[in-house]
Amino acid sequence: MTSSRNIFRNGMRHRRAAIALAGLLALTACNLDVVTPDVVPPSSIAGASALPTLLAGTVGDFSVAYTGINNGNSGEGIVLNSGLFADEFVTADYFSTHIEIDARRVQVPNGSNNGVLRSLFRSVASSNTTAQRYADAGLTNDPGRARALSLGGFVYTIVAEDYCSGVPFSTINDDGSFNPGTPESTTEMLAIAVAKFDSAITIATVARDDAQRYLAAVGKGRALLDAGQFAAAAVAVQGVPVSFNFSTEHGVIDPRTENGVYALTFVNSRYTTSDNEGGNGLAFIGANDPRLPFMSLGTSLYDGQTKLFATTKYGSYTAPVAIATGIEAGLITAEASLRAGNPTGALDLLNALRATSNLDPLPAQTTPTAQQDQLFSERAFWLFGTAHRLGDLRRLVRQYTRAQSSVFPSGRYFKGTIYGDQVAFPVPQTEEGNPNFSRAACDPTKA
Amino acid sequence: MHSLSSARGAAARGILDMAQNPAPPRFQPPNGVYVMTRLVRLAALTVLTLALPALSRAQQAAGTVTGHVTEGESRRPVANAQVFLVGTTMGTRTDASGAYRIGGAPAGPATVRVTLLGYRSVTRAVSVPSGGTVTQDVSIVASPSILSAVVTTASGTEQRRRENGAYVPTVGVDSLPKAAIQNFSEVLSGRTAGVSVQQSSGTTGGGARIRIRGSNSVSLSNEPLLIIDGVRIDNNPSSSSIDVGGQSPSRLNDINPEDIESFDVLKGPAASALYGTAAANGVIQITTKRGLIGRTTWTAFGEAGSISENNPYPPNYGGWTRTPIYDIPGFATGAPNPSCNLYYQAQGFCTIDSLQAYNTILESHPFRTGRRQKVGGNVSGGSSLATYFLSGDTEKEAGVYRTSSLDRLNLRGNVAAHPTQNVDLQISTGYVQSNLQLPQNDNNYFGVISDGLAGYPGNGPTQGYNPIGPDQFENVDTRQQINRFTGGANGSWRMLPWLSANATLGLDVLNRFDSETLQPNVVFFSDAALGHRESNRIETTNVTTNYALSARNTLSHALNSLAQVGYQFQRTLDQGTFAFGQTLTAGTGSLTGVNSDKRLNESYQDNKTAGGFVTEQLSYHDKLFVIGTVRADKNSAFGKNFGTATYPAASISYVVVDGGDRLSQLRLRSAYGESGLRPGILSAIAYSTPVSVRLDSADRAGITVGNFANPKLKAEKTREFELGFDAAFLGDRASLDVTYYSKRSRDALVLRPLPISLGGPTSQFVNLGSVTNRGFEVNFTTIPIRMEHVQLGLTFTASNNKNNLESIGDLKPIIFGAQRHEPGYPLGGYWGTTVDSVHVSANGTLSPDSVFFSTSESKVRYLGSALPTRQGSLSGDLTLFKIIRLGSLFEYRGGNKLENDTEQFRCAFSLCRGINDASAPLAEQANAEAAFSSSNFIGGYIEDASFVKWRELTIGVSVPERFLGSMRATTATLTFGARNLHTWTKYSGLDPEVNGTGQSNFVTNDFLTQPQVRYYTMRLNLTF
Repeated sequence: MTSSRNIFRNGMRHRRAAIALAGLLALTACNLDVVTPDVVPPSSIAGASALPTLLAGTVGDFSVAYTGINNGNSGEGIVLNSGLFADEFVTADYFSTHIEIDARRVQVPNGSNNGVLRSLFRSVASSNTTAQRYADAGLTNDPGRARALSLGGFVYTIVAEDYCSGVPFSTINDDGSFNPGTPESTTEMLAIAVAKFDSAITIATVARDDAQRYLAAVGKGRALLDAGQFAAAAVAVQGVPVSFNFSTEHGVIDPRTENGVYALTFVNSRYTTSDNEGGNGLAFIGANDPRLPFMSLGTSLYDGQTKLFATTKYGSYTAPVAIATGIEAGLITAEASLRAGNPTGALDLLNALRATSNLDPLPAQTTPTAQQDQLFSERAFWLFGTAHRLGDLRRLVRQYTRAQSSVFPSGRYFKGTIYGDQVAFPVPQTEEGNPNFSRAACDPTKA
Repeated sequence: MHSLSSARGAAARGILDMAQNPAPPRFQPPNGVYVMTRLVRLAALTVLTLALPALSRAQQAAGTVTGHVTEGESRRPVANAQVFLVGTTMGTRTDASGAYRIGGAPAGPATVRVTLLGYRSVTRAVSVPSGGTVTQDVSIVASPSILSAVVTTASGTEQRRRENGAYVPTVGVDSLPKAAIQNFSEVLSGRTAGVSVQQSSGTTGGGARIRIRGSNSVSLSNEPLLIIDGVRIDNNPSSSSIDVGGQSPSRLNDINPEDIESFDVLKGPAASALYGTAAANGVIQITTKRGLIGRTTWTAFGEAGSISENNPYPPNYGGWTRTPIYDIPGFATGAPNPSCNLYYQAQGFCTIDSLQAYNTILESHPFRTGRRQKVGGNVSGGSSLATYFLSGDTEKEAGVYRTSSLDRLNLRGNVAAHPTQNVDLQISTGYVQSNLQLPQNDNNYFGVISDGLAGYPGNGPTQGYNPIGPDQFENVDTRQQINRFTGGANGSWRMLPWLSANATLGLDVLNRFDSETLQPNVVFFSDAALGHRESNRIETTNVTTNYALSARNTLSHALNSLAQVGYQFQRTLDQGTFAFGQTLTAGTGSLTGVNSDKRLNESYQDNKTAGGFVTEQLSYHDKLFVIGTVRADKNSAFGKNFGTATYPAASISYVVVDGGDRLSQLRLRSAYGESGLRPGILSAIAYSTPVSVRLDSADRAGITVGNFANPKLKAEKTREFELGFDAAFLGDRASLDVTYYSKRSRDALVLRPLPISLGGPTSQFVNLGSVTNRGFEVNFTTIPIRMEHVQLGLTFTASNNKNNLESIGDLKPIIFGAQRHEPGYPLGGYWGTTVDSVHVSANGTLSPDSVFFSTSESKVRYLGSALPTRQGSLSGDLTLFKIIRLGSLFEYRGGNKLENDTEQFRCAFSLCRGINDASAPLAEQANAEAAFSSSNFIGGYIEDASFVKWRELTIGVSVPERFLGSMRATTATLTFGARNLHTWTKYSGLDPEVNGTGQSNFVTNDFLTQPQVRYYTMRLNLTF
């Protein structure tokens, strides 16, 4: 029986029930705070104590952009992508993204190109942030800041070497708003790189950190060489010992720390060292050059046709990849000598470098073209797999007035099409969200 | 009176204020604790205001109403019918003998209403004696109209379909032909208009993409919300952490069809606004079976069947030449081989001496005849104090691949108790344990079809597969084991005849164990020879709490009111630990055996929603119903600068005709509502991602940029308007429901691609899009033959959907492969270029360079929708001599295209007929040459994917009663079922329904994907 009278009689029971109901409500009362243990909030990377973590991040981001990661199907860095575009590597699979790059027909949606340039931008953004945080902490002349600046300088240099003129660099503000970058010409990118290297040299000199000073010096020399300032480049690298070697470091704790070149050549066999690619390519296999040891791995299982030759230069997940070396400093000096009209001096320098590896001296060439070919061949073998070759091929067109069809792989491509006429990577489609970006400013057929 | 109208005015103003001020200041205390002060006060006022007149009536004494419900002419008792006292909170269900009893009924005149799905609703006037009992027997007749169906609302109360201006179909699952149904997505498919179920593949344990009235969201999930017995459950459409190429299980299919009594489909915000920030894609609300008062009933069933794969796989082609283009495994280096093709020949590189066509898959058949078994039963019964339903079954399926299987155990226990006549308690529990083995396929080097259709045009060392054959790829053992508990406790307390409270506490806990083992030196490809083990353990927890207070009130003899206020809290927590390692010690199958490349990761994602609602329903003469609702939500994923999301809704339903012969029922209805979707859990905040870095000869902690902040991020809102009518005619032998709907999602959360020059994440969620969906839905049901020995029922459904991306702000079209989100066109539509022209030589063949096409952006054009824009079904149910029952279902989908990536891929790699066979149709050759010479040529392979499928066929025979005695059974039915019997389509690939990316939000292609397979099943059902 339920009536109002009963309700009042049973008021106590109903009050209990109401209390129970309220208790239930309270139990589930709704604190909407949640924890996010998987990520690092901005507050955790503020202050001087966070600088080692930030610097490690910058080093890691550069390594990813440069050598790539161990990601099975992809994970290329600029070393493989630029080498694939040039004559260092050919693709051993049938990914259209790889074939486009190999055949110099890179479409703007190309995911491989997009991934690598994204990594390069990430690296430069990281280096800018880290350098600024050192300054904010009052550690303006800390070697860590020099290192961050140099790595940023290398990214600018590499982008200038491998991408079309007209690449924007954007930044983000603390409030989440963006500053869309405007296209930077190749010359402008190289100037920014030189400025970063100059800052790093100043810091390293004050800090008496020779390694950082040499790293920045070689970087500056490389950027000046790209800019056609040969004499200044030679000056920049003066004093760098031939034994100097500054490389990426790799470990096996994580796919991101592993050498991506090894992963994609030895392990996954998606890339192989090329031999006379497209007629103009150098005989990286046929030359049997001790600077470029390789191992035959049979035939690609992806396409069933490509012969696999993996360089043992990068023969493990932990193999380092040189960023800057004393050898490169010597090569810069030799080229400056050649450009200054001293082929004998240039040859002597090249042979001095060869002597460090017990290589026979090179014969003297009699024509300027042959001397240039000799120099660039030496650069190609010394600097194989360090993201120099594409820049060198472009320089042959830009600075030595060669036809692109005479230096880049050309003619019939071995996977069913013909080589295109690109000499640089285009800026990917994903940049088109930048209102300041102009596709017209980026011509990948221009050296 | 003065105070009453003041209070009502305050309530009205409160609702208005809430609608106009979506972020009331008291809603957001600084510590994040959600205090619904304003809503609670408003709700209390509303309930009290509308309930006050009832308080005076509460002085009356009470009596009891009893009776029996029987079916029309047969006088058969009707169990499980719902019996209500109109205008009160009081009601019950009939027991197995059709009896009912409602105690505590207010003395005086009352109206008894009886409803049951599939029957016409009946009301009877009674006079309840004070302290006495009145008996009212009711006879109900079958009707195809489902106006009388009762739907459980988000507040936990039951609502007749006629009261709701939104169209909410209810599908009774018990009557569906289980012999032809293997999982819940097949239960959904073809049953009601506007619900699109796309089975992604024929893989055992594979999933399905569900869309209701189209896709609303550019970047968030478009899957509907799933509710079981009031408890929200995980609806992850692609629930696996290990990639097997494309396919993955849908959690939807954890729901056991055997346990479902019925499901309601709340198709969009007009119906689902009360579910708030989760319900924009509609809600599938499932009610599981309950025990009935009466004797214990035992039911047992067993089924067994076969699964066959009979698809016409194409051969791999190659042109034999004496001047090989490249070497092929199995052929000596430089020796003649089938590496030439028409393109190479046209270029003068080689000459085709003869055509090789080798059908790798048919020659070395990698399939087996699959097997399926399911055995189970249930027991139910109870008394007036408590009822129970207990069930269990085991299911075993061996798919058509040797590495494909599913073992599943389902248990359910539902108990309902009625400790007092005013209190109902209900506990629902379900448990699923399964072990699924998934084959490798789709975009996968270890795939069965992938390696077969990309194989060499000859029987090489891998039996024609490329790169590896079945002897290798069948060693990859990928599994998913789950343990899932879904439980809910619901209590309803009729505090007063006019006032009731309802509370639901629910929990859905899914423990998933994804693993993969590959023994060393069994697969010789890349680093697979090392062997590996992956072991990922994921736990997903959904917590649901709902509270609602309902006040019913008779405002006058014609006007009734139902006011409700409620509060809901929802939490979803995903936690996972992921581990991988290589160089597996042979014979081991755990991480303890790995010796290199050890990887560890962990994830923790927590989301909370708190919301409150107020709703008021007025009914006039039980013919006109008006409902108004407001819900307000806060969610932990909203940006810190965003306050509260509010979702208003309103509906009107007018029953114009309710009784008569030719036109027996006619209802006009209309509804409007809003509901939403939350942003990604971490989308609003800035963060960095921890990374490992090798530096100075040590592994060190570093960071890389993770996400940019968007403090303004808010819920994506979808508002919907619908209009329609329901009619029953021809002496209740036919019913017709027609609905027009129009939806618009605004503040659509778009994953805006960020310029890569920012050096940050690839994209960022922003509220800047708008999407519309419009269409018609028609459901027509008829019983053209209703004779003693022959009865035929037919159901026809049809719907269309016009999806349009109105805007994505200032963004350029979002491009993903051959698909785009481009304003002015359907979301995820296909875009590309096609062959412009072909010059045919005098001898009828294509001449060199005679295929003209371009892949430049300026030539790209819209090619069609990737999702069906039209669909329909026709089902029939024929009963002969009361013992033979034949059923069939045909489904139609159309208006959409499908990317035949399989053929494009095979042509690009010189394996298809078009690039090798000069006798192939010229159009096929032209497309093939374009694909071979340009990897970006896709448009020629975007094909019409319309189809009609003969989906189900069942033939059932009931054992006559005279034979049942020896079996000690009360009923026995033997049913033959078949599924996927035939497909009519113009699509040139194997199946126009599949998707090589599983249940991905938009990406749709047929890429080396397993087509649907055919099931034949025999099933025996026994009742004791």
